[in-house]
Amino acid sequence: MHKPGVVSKVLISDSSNKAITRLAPFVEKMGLVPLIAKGNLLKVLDANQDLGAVFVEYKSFQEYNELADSLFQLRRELPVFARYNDQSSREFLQNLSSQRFASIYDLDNIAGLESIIKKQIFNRSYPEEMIASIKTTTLDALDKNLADCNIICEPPYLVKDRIFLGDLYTLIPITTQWCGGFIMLQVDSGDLLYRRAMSDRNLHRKDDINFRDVSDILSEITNVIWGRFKARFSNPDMLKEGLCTFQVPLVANHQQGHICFGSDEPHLCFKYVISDVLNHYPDMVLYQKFIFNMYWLPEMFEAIDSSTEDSKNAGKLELF
Amino acid sequence: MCEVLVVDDSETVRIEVSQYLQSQGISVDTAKDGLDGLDKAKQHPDLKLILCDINMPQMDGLTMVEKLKSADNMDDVHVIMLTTESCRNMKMKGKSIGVEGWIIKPFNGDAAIAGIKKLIGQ
Repeated sequence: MHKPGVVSKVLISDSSNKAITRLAPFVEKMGLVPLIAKGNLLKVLDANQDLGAVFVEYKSFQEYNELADSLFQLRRELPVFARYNDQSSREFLQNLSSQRFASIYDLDNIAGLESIIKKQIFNRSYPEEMIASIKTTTLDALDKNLADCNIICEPPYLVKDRIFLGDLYTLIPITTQWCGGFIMLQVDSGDLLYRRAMSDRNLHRKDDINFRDVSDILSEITNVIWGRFKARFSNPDMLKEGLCTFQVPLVANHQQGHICFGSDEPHLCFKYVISDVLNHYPDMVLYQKFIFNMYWLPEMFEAIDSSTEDSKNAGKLELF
Repeated sequence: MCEVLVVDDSETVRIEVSQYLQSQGISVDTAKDGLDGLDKAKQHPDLKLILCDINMPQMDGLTMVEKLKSADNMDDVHVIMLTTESCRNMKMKGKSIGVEGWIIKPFNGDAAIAGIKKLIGQ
């Protein structure tokens, strides 16, 4: 079920080198990227906010209880895989509420984690054509909107975390015959985005950058990406009446930096690192998330070939 | 005087397109959505062309064009859609209500100016 190329970062906090040596290659084989936490797990967790899961170990009754409580309070969306060493720690974990972990394991039954990781993280098969198209059309949209920038797209990954990164985000609904949800872009509201977008348009303002200008640029980039996705993957003839008449509330907590779409499904993320070739401004990172929280019907997936030609002709006037 | 009306909910696009057209010697006004576009179009008797987005609040671009074309003295105003939409059905709908050209965003002035000048008779 796991598609090569789509990964997910997981944090491993374990004091046993033997456990790490066994676990890390195992999860890598499954498409997970293991980050080994050294020191205080909660501090490391705080610095890694786009994770797919956490692997921890049981050391003692009190310590595990405190850790489980903290994880539940801070990052309860993350599946927790807890390792036990002996029968008594296994029994202790089994008696805990299932909210405190996704699964327990020991090093002798590590293979048993495979089905649970698939269920928790790699439960959907994302069409390779869609993954490739999102990457190329977004790179093209960014390239056409930002002058004098190098843009690199890192391999796509899945996150269970619900934390929004950066200062600014946009959301736009997507409704096709086979998937429904949102596209979200997240950035720091740095100078680079604004300056290079304005430069690309040969526009220069003497006054200071206003946050509204940066919002407007990001909105326009979101709009172009949305349009390309829709043209490529939405067949209007197949859109059923009533498909998009239901919605769920989105909840954003700005104090906690938390956003909830009402679904446990992992978010499909792309990270673009944008650097200024003229070295006037620091690099910026743009996170692009696809949140298919409303529906997912991959058997209805369709890629419309003509849209590729259309996007190549972007900017040109087609007279009828 | 206003030869071209740019209708788009993005201020950046309004500024970008209008500054480009002005640099080509074309007089321009802007509107921020379909309702505003209808109002502005009626205020400019010398209007020759509307460059119009589709997805906008209050009133979408195609509805605006439909209303405009059915209004008195407005059916000879040329319309080009400037939009992220590129599906065939939408283009066909546009054509059926009197849209004469289509530009997929982002705007590229140099690639579009010859056609724009042709439509406004420059």
